[in-house]
Amino acid sequence: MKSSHIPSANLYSCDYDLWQAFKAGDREAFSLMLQLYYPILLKYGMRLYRDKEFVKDSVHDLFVELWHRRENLGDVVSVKGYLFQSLRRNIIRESRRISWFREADIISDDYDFDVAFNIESVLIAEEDQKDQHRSLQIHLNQLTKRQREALFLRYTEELAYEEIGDIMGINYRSAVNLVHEAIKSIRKSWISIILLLLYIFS
Amino acid sequence: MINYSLLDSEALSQDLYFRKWVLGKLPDDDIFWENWQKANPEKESTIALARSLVLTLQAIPHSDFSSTEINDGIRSIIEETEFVSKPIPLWRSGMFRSLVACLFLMAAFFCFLRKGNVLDSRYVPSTSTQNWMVHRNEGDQTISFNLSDGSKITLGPHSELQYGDDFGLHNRIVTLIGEGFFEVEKDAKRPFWVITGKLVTKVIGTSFRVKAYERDTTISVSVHTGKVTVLRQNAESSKDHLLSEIVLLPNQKAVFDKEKERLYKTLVDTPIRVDDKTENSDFVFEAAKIGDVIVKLETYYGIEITFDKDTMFKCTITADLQSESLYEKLDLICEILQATYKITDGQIVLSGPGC
Repeated sequence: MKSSHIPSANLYSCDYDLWQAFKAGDREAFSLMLQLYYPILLKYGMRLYRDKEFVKDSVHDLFVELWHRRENLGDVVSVKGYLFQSLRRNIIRESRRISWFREADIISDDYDFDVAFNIESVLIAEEDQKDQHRSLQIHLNQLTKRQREALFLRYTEELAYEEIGDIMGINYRSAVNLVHEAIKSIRKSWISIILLLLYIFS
Repeated sequence: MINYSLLDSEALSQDLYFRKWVLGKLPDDDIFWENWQKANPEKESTIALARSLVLTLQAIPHSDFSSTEINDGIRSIIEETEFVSKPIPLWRSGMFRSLVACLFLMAAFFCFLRKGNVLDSRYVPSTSTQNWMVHRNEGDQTISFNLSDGSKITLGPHSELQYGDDFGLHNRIVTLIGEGFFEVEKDAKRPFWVITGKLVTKVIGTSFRVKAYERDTTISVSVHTGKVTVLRQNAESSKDHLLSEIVLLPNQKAVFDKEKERLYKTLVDTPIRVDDKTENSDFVFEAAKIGDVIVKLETYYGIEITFDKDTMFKCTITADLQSESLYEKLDLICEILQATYKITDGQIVLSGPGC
């Protein structure tokens, strides 16, 4: 049996080694970590706060800080999850501070989560399918930002619920529920889409 | 193994193996899901719903950062953390720091990831996998198939392609015996390596042909489109250190003489058109200057042609060269001008007495 048959198989089987090497001050491990995670952290950051320079600085500071503190860092299960979590915390904290200074900025209570899902490419936008498309779009827009973020982390970044919980500061059960509720709330519009997809893919 | 028939569509849509299938990331010969689908016809709507969840909930990527910005960002982090042990103020030793940072950056860029290992570009990467996938073509016809990264392979008769089961995850490395035509999907982060004995071919995304039959005295790599790097590796060295490398452009070919262990650059046997602006009808010449004819040939085939301008600049050509191959065209031109040509280092050199 191939390892890929195990569904939640550790995509991160080499994470432990990478993290240990990084903690030991291995520059190659550090630069590898940058190659792997710098671009996706920028992408994730942009969904939390749409200001390129701000996000770039946040990711920059995160890595520089990690390097300086590397000897005091604990072990992590998932490097990606840990980095997402740290970046999210820093961005929210920092954006709150900025908005407090500037008074006027968008961040009112918490943060926003900006994500557009891939409906267009799935549904061929012919006339008779526009309605389903619109109804799905409306349902997706009605999701809360936390639901959108959880869906993004689960479905686009393929993170485990434990990691999603850690990143969003909630427990495992709440992470599962968040995704489940989101899916349930848009399920209504799925029904018409399933019929359509059955037609397309059969 | 998980009993997939117990999963509902939501659980199925979050199963990594199922997701790989839907997103087209499984190797072609992995037909588990096709079989499963057939064996469980009552699951049709569950599969359809799960599939639509996977596809629809892919976030549309922002294209906020260019690769230059990303590279600059990584460099500035590397630079800033370079001298952590010594608290040197930023403004000191700036030159030295940038120099080291540049070196680091270069090393970092050519780093190759596999199971926790980082490899330099001068070394051929290898997979640590134990499970090898083998495509073998025993017949007399070519066979085609796709790899999990989307690259298309056309395998020649009596040829074999091998790769680890981690292909496409961290690396793209294949081993070829015999002949193969590769149409490689572009992925700048993970170069595609073809290993054929002592010759290694590295590309980002392009199409090319590799001929490495064991019975032949040479190994050849011919480029169809894009840019290809061919490296020669030294078997004596334990670290597979690469000795020399040459870069090939379309219509160029690298030939490695196995016995003499010599690698040289020449042209493919039948150069093809690489420029779609030049038409065949452009090759009807009436008292055309030799310089103009050469420029036409150069752009049409993307090959550099040099000739002795001092002696030959006055020469003119009147000929219809629409249907001939490159070498036939050259033969005719040479006949008209009483000239000769030779192929050196992937270029054509024309010489003649002048007119």
